[in-house]
Amino acid sequence: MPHLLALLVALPLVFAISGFVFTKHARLIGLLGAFAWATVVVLTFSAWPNLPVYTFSDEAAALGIAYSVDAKALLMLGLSALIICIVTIYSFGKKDTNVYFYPLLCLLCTGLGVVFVSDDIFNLYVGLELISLTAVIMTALQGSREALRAALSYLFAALFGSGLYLLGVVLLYTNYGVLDLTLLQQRVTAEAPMQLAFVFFASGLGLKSALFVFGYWLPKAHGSAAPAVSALLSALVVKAGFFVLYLLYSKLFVTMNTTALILWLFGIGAIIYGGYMAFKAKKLKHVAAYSSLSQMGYLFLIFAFSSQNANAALWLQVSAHALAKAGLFLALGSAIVFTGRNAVSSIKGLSATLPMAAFAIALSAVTLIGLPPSLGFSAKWYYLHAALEQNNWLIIAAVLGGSVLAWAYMFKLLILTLQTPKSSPITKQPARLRLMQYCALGLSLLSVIGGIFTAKITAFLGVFHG
Amino acid sequence: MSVIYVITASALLTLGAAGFLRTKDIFKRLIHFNLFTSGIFLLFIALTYTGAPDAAAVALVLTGLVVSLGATALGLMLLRTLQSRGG
Repeated sequence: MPHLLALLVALPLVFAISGFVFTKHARLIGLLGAFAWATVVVLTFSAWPNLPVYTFSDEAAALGIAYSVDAKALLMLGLSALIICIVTIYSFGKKDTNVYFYPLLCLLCTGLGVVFVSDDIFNLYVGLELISLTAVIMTALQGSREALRAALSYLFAALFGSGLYLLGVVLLYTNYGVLDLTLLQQRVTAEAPMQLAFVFFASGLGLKSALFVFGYWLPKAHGSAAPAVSALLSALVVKAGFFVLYLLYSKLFVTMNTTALILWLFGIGAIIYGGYMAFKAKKLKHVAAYSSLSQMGYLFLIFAFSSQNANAALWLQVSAHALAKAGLFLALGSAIVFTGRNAVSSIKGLSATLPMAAFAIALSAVTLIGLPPSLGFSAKWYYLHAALEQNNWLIIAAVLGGSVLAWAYMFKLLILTLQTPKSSPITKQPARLRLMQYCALGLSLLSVIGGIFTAKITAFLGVFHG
Repeated sequence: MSVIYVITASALLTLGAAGFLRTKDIFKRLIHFNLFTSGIFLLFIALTYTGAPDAAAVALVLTGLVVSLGATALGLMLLRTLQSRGG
């Protein structure tokens, strides 16, 4: 399969376009598209690491776009394919899912494919744009005034972010005359224009990946979007922005300490602020949204380190948060469908009415707090290890503080689910609701038992623990 | 590289960004966003111009224009739907 990497991008695009054309069959096309994409991801996985760099033309690398995958990209692709497939099944259970959700889902696959395999900074821009615009439309699908306002606010944040990213691209291209990451890596030096370029990239991608104060749009967008959309937004869309930022940093800007320092200080700010706001939130989806802000903060701690431990921590945290948060949103979504309300108090007695959803919330809590044996525990363990190596007490305090806050906001939910319900439990749930809960439970469960395979994951990523 | 173009581009870019950050009006923000990106594109072409336009830069700006056109159209559609719902 020599064209595997091109298929990762092209195949879901075909499904997306046919979904928009044949809206009557959009559901079926979306389902097929999601699973076809997952199949290509699995094939890529089995062909790796003997997969050559894919080029679209024989032109010099300065013009021809190159596609390649490494272990990190494969991890992201695998997580994306898994979560997208489960979210598709989940949205089949929800009666009022908009038909346009399915082609947009395929479009999201295309965007994610572009971002994870591209070796070209301009092609990365196009991929990021595709993901952002798709996510904006998904947010607006609800059609309420609140949703449209949130979508516009998200659109402006994303657009300004991509403008800043583009300025960074302009600076790199005018100084080095190439866009290919590998070629750039050989040519960059720590000159003043490069410092400025990194500031542009960092603020632009910070906006897209909801870093601390740059994430002002995230709770609004989550509060009004459908739960399936929120799950995708939190688990995958914001991580795509972070993935690009980390890719650029590790290849081009490792020496830029000042901006990196600001990034990880912002990360600490996000951990504490997000956790506090999640505790104070009155709406269910806002709890999960602010918790995302907090958990995304952990990712930005990587800019304080260059050790293998921190590297392991980063990718474990990415996996832990993607799975646990998608599971949490889907579980809260089925509770909201059941009660018809979005207030935190509405999940009172959920363990009696929707036991599987309550169990999924509890499992997500285990990961988000970082209790063993979850992936979240492994991630925080490696973060603490890395911080101890450098005697960075600020980060140790932030990691532990974030856990305490996660404990507070997740236990607030859990205690409510265990209280006596207001209404008597219904004996037989509709099949749709059960399907939705199974999806949530599957993702949350994976985030917990994934921790058992920590050693396998770190070995796959090529990082060794010390 | 012609200085006048670089200055114009920088002015457009700054005006667009400043306006974008200052105003709350959705329609004005869309216009400011277009000024901002036009500034970036002009800057890109002006900085890479060496007697003749740089082919790769022109191709990239063209792609960027299409993206910003799509984004503007999406913003306008969202705004129109919002207004038709009385918000």
